[in-house]
Amino acid sequence: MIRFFVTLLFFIGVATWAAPTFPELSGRVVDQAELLTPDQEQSLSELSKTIEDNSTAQVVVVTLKSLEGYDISDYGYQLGRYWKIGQKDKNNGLLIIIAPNDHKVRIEVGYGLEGDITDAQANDLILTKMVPRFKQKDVYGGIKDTMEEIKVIISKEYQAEPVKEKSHLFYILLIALIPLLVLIFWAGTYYFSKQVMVILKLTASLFIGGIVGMLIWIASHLVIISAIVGLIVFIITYFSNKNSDFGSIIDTIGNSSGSMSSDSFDIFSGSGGSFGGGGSSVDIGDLLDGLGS
Amino acid sequence: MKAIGGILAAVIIGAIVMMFAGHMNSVPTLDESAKASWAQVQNQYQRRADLVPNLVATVKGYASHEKEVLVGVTEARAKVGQMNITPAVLNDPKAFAAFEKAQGELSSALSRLMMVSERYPELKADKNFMALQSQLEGTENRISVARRDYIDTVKEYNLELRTVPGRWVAAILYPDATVKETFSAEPQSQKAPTVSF
Repeated sequence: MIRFFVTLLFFIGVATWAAPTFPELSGRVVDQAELLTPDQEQSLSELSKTIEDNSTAQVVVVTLKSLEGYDISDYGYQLGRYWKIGQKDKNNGLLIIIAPNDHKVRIEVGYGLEGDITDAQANDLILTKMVPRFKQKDVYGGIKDTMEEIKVIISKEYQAEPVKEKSHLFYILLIALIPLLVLIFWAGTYYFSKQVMVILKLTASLFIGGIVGMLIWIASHLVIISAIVGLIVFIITYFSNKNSDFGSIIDTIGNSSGSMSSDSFDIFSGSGGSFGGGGSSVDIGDLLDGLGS
Repeated sequence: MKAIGGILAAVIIGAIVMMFAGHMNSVPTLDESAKASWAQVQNQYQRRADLVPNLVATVKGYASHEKEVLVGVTEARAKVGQMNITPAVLNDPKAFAAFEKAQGELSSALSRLMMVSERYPELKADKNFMALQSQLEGTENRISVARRDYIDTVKEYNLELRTVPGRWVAAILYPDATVKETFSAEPQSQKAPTVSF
């Protein structure tokens, strides 16, 4: 029995072996070591946003005061997993990690990007894009050049996505169907019996709820939220036109699409990507000594 | 009174059933995830083995008289290549140890090779070698990540098999399930964290 508990304790001990403390993911640029000015942070964030908009890949820049005694590659993949950078189904996250006090730089590549950015390429990026600028004490320039190059590499991979336009057209057609539906619905109040009307109303509400849900899904990629919103719209639509007031359907659509367009501000968070240790680290020596904190 | 006793019994039985119900599928689920992470370990080792011939050829071009080291790597690579690793190995301590040993030998042969290559500035400046070197570094890193993930998933699986109620469920439903072999933490990962509690 004692042996059993000892084994158990051993297992629990193993579980706690690797847990560095990670900074908070405050945005696309986490400048803990204070190597960048607010303007530079802003500019890099925008670049990261562009990359994500083009390819869905999430690129995060992080500067660290300390690696807490960990190897940078050890720290890096755990940080990536902790923040869940990259899309869940694509694992296309990438971290640019700079630890000036530990003299280390690393590009941590998520599982899904390992094919596009090989370790050798990551190494090359650091040596040819980052280090020369760092030598001139230009941290921002080094990161920016690296990201620009990453943008080119990644977007090559994702260029073939004209499918999107086609699907937009599809949804526009769907939306165009609404007036038709309303017309049938309106005409129906004069010609059909009560039972038929209930079915019609149900169909119409379902349809509208579905479309709204789908639109939100397209805009936000949040399945659960769009499902809930779609359901609410369905219920509202169904009950709001109980007295055959088809105008309320239009109101409902108007209201819900109005609230939809408010997703323009950029609150960044990881999307569930994972990391497997791909990428490359380089010892930059004292290149960045005396900069930041 | 009887009714209260009945209700109480029902509640207790219900609670026990609930407790077990949550563990019904744990063993096969955890077994699968352990196997998946083992596959990842193997993938990464395979990837490393695939790098070796190229690496040896490149180093040979600049340091052909370092025969001993080069032969050492080639032999260790051949040994690893001969091993036929199936998931059954995970339940066989002997085969598992043999796998560990062969991979460990390749690791040290490779690190000797990399050490030797430090002495050849021309080799170190070779573009091809530089690419292979960072490829190898990355692969070693992936191996250690995959090993750690494997240790974590096996830990979960073994814990389920050893602790109540998973242990009882396993005894009834999955009598064949046995504790899996796992890696001991590598020396380097033991030394790395300097965490204070």
